[in-house]
Amino acid sequence: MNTEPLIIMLVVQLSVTGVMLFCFYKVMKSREGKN
Amino acid sequence: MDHKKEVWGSRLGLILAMAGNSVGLGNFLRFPVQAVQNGGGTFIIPYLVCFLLMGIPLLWIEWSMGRFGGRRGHHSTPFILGSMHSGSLWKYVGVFGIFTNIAVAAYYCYIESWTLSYTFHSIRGTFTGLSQTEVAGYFNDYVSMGTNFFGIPNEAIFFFIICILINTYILSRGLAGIERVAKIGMPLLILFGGFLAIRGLSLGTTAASEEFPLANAWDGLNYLWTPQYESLLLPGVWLAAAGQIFFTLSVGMGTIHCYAAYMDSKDDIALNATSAGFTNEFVEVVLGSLIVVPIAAGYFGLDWVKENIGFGMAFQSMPFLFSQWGPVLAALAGIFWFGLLFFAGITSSLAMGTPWMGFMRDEYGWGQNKGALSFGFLTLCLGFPCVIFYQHGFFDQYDYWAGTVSLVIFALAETILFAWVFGIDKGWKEINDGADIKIPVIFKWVIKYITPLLLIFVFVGALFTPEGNNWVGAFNQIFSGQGWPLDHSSLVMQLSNSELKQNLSGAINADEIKDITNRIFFANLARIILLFLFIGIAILVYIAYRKRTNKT
Repeated sequence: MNTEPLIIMLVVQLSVTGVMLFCFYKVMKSREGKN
Repeated sequence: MDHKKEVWGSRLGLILAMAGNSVGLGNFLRFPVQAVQNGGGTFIIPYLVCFLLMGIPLLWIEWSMGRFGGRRGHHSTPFILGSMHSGSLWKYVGVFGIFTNIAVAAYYCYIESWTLSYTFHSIRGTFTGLSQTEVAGYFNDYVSMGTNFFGIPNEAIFFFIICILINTYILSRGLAGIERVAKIGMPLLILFGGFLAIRGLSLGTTAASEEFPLANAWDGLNYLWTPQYESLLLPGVWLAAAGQIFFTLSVGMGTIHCYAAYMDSKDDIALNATSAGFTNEFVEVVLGSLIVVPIAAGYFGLDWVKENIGFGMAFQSMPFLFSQWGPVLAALAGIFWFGLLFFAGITSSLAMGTPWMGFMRDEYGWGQNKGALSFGFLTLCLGFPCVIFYQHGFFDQYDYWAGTVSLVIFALAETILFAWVFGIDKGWKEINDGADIKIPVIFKWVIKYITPLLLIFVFVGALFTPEGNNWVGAFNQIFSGQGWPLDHSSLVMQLSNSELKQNLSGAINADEIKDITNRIFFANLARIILLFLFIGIAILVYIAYRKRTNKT
């Protein structure tokens, strides 16, 4: 795979995954999440 | 109306149910098609911009409208919208939020039934040893009622009914049933998708054959992710990106309002909605982009993919590609692929049942069983013509008018209601009430100005789509006094069946003329049925309104 699309793909996919995981982390940390 | 108020069992259950509502077949089938048809890497930038400026704001709007209505005892859009402004017309705008779900469920359950059937056939090894043409032919036979299942004729009808029965049963279990399916289905979907995505990433050139010696899975990924910045100036690409965001998030349907209406009045919206939205994006951008295009490019080459990509590829090509992986892996991949599509489908179709059930429960005192059975019956009656007359384009009419046009109209109307009629200050307060994250205040202005403008852009774009989706050419033409060249896919031209009529005028043999005449007849019939459905729901809303006013 070429370098430019590979970098863009990784940046976009990791960002989306990162935000999703962060959101779930915040949800689980909250009171209702623990319940 | 003495039913005990239903609530979600857990916050995670609510988020997964909302994400399940959004994650649908489109994440795996529509997204790659749109991306490939709109220049590959060009598509992703407008797509992400539209997600941030239209998708996420619409999620916040719909979640907060739903919670607002839920506090007042409303669990469907007619009276949720009606409770936000005293104007009597808003509740009839809310009819879209029930109409769209019933009409979309009617054809969506049919696609869902294909995935169920193909999962069984993958286990049975039906596709083993078949050529690409034979696998494609099998699908055509299936939708033409030419296949049978263990001797049961008309397999398509059989699986359609099974699918509706499954949906009806789960819906009759109420929110608890939906939540349980989401908690099982979503992780399984991600697991299945992850397996196939790893395969797509690792395929490389190993699947090249004598027929396709240059086939390379990475060509597919290169095409999807190589940016072509000059194409950012093409309105058609932006329109396609905005459209995809719409469909992928299931906004403009009324399901989000309905789910959110069952939240507690002080529950968070900002974080929950963002979590559900990004889960959908994860499934689409990460998993959706790594399966169909790279795997197909790995076997057939990029040129073949560009030429043949479409919704049907999932059923006409993927089973053949899986069969190249050896009997065990082929069966496993088939189960994973069609299984993930089934889970993606059922979590969405279940959501489509809840607005009708919520409305009938609030206004007419119908219990869960009665609500679920009536929804199943309506879906069966409306979906049956889609199954029988699929080849005549009946299905496409439902998809266009209920699954496309209605969504845009409703989303535009609800955004105007929320930001301009209800008022952005009250709306912003509603979004932030009980929030576990702080939303940047800039989004207040995005919701007020940018989101409605983008929606108007999408609506006008659909209304007057220029020929070949060539906006630059169309503007040049109008400025040189030659008029606006409308495409057959534009709403205006669709309404007049212009493409079919043009084909009819050019048809010469009797079979072709008969086929096109049938298509025109069934297109008009489908629209009349949809119109009656809308009017029927509007009458139910009117009666419910009269009952309410008589009580007070």
